[in-house]
Amino acid sequence: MVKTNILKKGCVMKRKQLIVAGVLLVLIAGLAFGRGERDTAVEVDVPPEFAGANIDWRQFEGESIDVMFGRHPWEETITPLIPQFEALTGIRVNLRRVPHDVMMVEVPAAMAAGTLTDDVMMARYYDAGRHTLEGWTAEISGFLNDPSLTDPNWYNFNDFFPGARQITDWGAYQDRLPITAEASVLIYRKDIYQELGIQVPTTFDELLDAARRISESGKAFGITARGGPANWMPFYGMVRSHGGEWVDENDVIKINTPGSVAAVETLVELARYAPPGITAYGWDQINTAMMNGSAAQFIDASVIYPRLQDPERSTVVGKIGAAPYPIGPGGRVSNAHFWSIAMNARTQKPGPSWLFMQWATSPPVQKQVAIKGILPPRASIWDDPEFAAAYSPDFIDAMNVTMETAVSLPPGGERAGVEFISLLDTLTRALQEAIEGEKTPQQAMDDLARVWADIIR
Amino acid sequence: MKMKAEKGTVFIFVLPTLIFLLLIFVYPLFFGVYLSLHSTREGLRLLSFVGLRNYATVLTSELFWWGVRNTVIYTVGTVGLTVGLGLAIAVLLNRIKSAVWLYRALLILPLGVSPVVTGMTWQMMFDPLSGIINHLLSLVGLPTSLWHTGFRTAMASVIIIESWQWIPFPLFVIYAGLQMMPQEPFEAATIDGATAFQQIRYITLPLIAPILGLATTLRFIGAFRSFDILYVVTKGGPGRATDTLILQAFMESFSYYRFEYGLVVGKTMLVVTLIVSIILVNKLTRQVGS
Repeated sequence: MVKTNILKKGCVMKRKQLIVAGVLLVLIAGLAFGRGERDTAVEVDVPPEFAGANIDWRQFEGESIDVMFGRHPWEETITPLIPQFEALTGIRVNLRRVPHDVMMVEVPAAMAAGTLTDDVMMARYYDAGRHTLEGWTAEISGFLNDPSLTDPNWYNFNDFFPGARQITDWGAYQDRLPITAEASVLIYRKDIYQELGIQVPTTFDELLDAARRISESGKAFGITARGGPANWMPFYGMVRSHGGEWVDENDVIKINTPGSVAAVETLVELARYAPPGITAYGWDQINTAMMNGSAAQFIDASVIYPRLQDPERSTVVGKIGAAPYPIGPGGRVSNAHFWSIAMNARTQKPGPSWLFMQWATSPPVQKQVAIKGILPPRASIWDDPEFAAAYSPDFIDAMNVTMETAVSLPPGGERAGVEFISLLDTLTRALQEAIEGEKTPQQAMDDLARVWADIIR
Repeated sequence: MKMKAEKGTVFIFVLPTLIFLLLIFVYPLFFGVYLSLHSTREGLRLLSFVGLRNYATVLTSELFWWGVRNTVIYTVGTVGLTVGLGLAIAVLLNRIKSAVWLYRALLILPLGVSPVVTGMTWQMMFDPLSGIINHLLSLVGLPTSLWHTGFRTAMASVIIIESWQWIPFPLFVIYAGLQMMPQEPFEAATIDGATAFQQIRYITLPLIAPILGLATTLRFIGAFRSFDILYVVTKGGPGRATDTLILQAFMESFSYYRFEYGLVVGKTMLVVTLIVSIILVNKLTRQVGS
């Protein structure tokens, strides 16, 4: 009798434990795989400018869309604004935020398999070739030209910088909208320049000289630079400023011509004054090296600047200066970059998805994001006094001067088409070989030119 | 009659698993082979049949053979380190008499860490500027290194990381083997005056040879297609210093969108793994048989 009681008790205990374990599992699964749920009951102020658009923002009320962002300063800034979109349209946004690397892997794999469930996602413009060839992203010109979905006067597509408009249509059809604008500018430590009596460099020669003097002083590393992920991006500006090119409009490879090789020589020389290990440096490591004071300057993405002036992150707030991109033998040609968002071609909710894309790239939202540190691809915002007030005048001036002549991508490379990304990756590796001294700049670029010739056939 | 009916029932019960396996394993395998015989240059919807051309292109490229070279160094390096150190630690562990549970618990820990976390942690420790390893080296006056960021030191660095993660596996396989060994030969050897080294060389090693073979085979398969740590720490760089075949297969497929080339590399690796595993397993079973 006693024995059976114990057994029964054991069973009850087990069942209880099972229930608890089950509940825990569901909770953990919810945490791990669930999309970000936000409280929509909170009162949100929708900016009054949206009333000026001659469309019905609430035409898809009650629907919901799935949105995926990669981790990025833009994503951090716009996410808190999403309740405004939900209040404006009555559309619920299920947001998924994934690490940048995961996004780069997961999106193409899921697109190829046809299993990507997000309606809208962050995207790189140089993926547009493959995305549009495969028909993975939705064509957006129809939405742009549909008066029931877009008020052209209010949305003002032509307000985007020419380079930003160009990237919306870089593939076989128009499939994306720009969300950020950035260009390489010179960012430096004012205090160190002052102590060493260094004038703000205007040319690459002066920049090299400044880097050498700072390194020799022992106050910090003379410069920090990208030698790792996506180092081709700032490097493109250096190539153009040295009179070089990657591939010309006739698809002739120019990466091993004297101008391009001179740019590699400058990069290798700069790397001598950079912290050890820059072959692993992407924009984030540059950002860290400046924030913790170990490096004194860089010529790289302007998107880093606002972070350096953020007292919650940076130890060098107030000591940071900005200047236009330096002038080389080929002039001042910085590299511009625009992040974008695109719509999944398989979406079942094109209308709501379009409203989200439009909202995220609209003048009022881009202005709000811009004031919080994300530089906007819309020209009108750059003239806005509220925007200018959020940054120091030297930074605004540096960006305005630099953007005048900045370029995004080489005129050629069309024939590489969908394999354009392999040009970029092989270039990154060749630059690493030069930085590490495994090959001379000329050798590294000659070898690269042969690899590129195989790709551009 | 009864047997037949039972067989039928067995088949029905196994069927769901069979269908599941067919779907997730066999179908992709054959679809992969199919895709590797086509060009995706015009898009996945407009495949054009090219026969073995992709195989010819990839297998004759310098890049592929550089990847083979790196894969061999990486595999031999990590298998050698993990099995060698695993064996040494297992023998030591087998001799420890007190608090064995503590050592066992500590030694198995690396296996419980996700490879991505392992990679990122070592990346921080190896950082040439702020990493703890260079800091400790300079404290005792030893030269520092660029570790994973240097062209000539990157391969050794990733081998160290991969080995740190995987040493517990051969270690505990061998340790289990040592625990099950008969004690008589050792007692006899002690009486005959054999030294500890002689006992290891002439008794322990021959007795655990099959287990050593098993550990080596499994580690070979693991190291040959090891991806996470390499991807997190170097992505095959700097330059192509740590560019192994599996990284090439991945980059071709998901960065360059040349799925067919990625698949050629993948299928080639599959064939190599199969051949080497068959040889090793055969050798193993023969040893056990004898």
